[in-house]
Amino acid sequence: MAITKVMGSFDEAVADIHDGATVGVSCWVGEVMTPQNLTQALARKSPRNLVLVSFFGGIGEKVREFLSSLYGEERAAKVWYIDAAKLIEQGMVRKLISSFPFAPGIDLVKKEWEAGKLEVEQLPHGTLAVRLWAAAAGVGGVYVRTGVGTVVEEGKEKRVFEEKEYILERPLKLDFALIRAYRADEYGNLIYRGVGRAVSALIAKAASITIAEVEEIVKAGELDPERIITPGIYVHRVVQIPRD
Amino acid sequence: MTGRELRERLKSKQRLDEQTIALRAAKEIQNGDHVNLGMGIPTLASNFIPEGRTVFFQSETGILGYGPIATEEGADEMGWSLINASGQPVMPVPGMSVFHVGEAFDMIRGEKLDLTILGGLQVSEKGDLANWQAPHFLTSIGGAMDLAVGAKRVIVCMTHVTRNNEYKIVKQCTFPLTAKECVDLIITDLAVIEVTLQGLLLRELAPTWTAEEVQALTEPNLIVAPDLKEIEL
Repeated sequence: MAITKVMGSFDEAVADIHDGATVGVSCWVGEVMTPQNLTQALARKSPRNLVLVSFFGGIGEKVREFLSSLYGEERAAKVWYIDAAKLIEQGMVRKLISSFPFAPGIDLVKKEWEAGKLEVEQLPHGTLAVRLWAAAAGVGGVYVRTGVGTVVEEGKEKRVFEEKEYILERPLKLDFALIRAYRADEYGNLIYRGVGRAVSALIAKAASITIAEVEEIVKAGELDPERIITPGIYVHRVVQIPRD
Repeated sequence: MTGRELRERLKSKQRLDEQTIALRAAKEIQNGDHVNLGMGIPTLASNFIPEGRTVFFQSETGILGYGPIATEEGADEMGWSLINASGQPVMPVPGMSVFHVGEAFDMIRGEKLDLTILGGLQVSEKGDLANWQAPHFLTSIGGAMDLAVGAKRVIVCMTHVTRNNEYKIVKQCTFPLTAKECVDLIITDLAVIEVTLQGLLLRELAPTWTAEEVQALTEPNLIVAPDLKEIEL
């Protein structure tokens, strides 16, 4: 029987994301890596007490609105978009695990954190990446040198290998990953444009359920196997972004 | 004159601007180097690569060998699909490659990068670096810890003292550390200082500055290089 992972709507694709789930969202720089439609659908569904895993804490809609008033909607949309911060703004997030939660001039996360409404676990970028990889690869943990002698090592096992100190970083498993890609086929094989793959291709592998929004869906066989970055085994649902 | 008086008097003395610090830092980049530039002054160094050198810039967002910062038209042409870790759209150049963030940090942690140039809040005499958090300055770890640990060579560009004339080159960092004993070279608006096993070696001075004056604005003792000279640009 024919298999297809294509779903008709963003709302349907996120319908089972439940209260307390650990959700990874591709978020850092650039619209090509940001699943804006899935994020908005999740905000409509509005589950509570989420653990949000995101490299960047996001910018949020208030900053975007401000920039739109300054530069116009079209220009603002190129650089600022609806990102993971939307979920924080909606009060859906209990804890943020991120390597860039705080940025000068972007105070959403800081405000929520200072008000005690949001727990923040900060990690180095590479450590977040390796913890997600460990979950993806099914290994029990990874020893890394990053963070030795800093606040990052607190509460973690330390070991010396060949006269260098390492700290043990444990896998970070996601219940759901929201990602964005350029093209998908009906089996969920994905290709990307530019930095589009940066976060999506990593977190896709770390989640029990990975949901992708894509610019175009094609038939199996239409993507060159040599070009596929994320094989369909990692991708469970695909929704096409409406063309305007 | 006491040290305090000297420090006070030096407040008004001319220093190098950010562009000039970046220009000096760019001289450290060798032909064929794979380089990651941190935010701030380090990013400016990409504008000053000595002619004839081929340099491969790496971005944590998964780009190796990217070109200059894109104009708005250039970014439109690229569909805003190439963006560096500071959020700037960049242009492709021949020989560029793209990959995901896990791979970007394999390169960094795996000691493949020849050089990283980072900003700094404090550097200790042992080369400890603090550059991501201070009281009244809340930002994020980002890629700094991985770069400081993984790059073969770490250069820090910063002002020599804070706006309030406090030491930034210190005996012991008081701000949260980025990494221990990682810095190789410090380039400031006053001097170029190498971190050696014997201590901090003062190699170059900004025009009109003396070793004594730079020492007055540096907490640990400086060793004056036998061939101490004016900063080379």
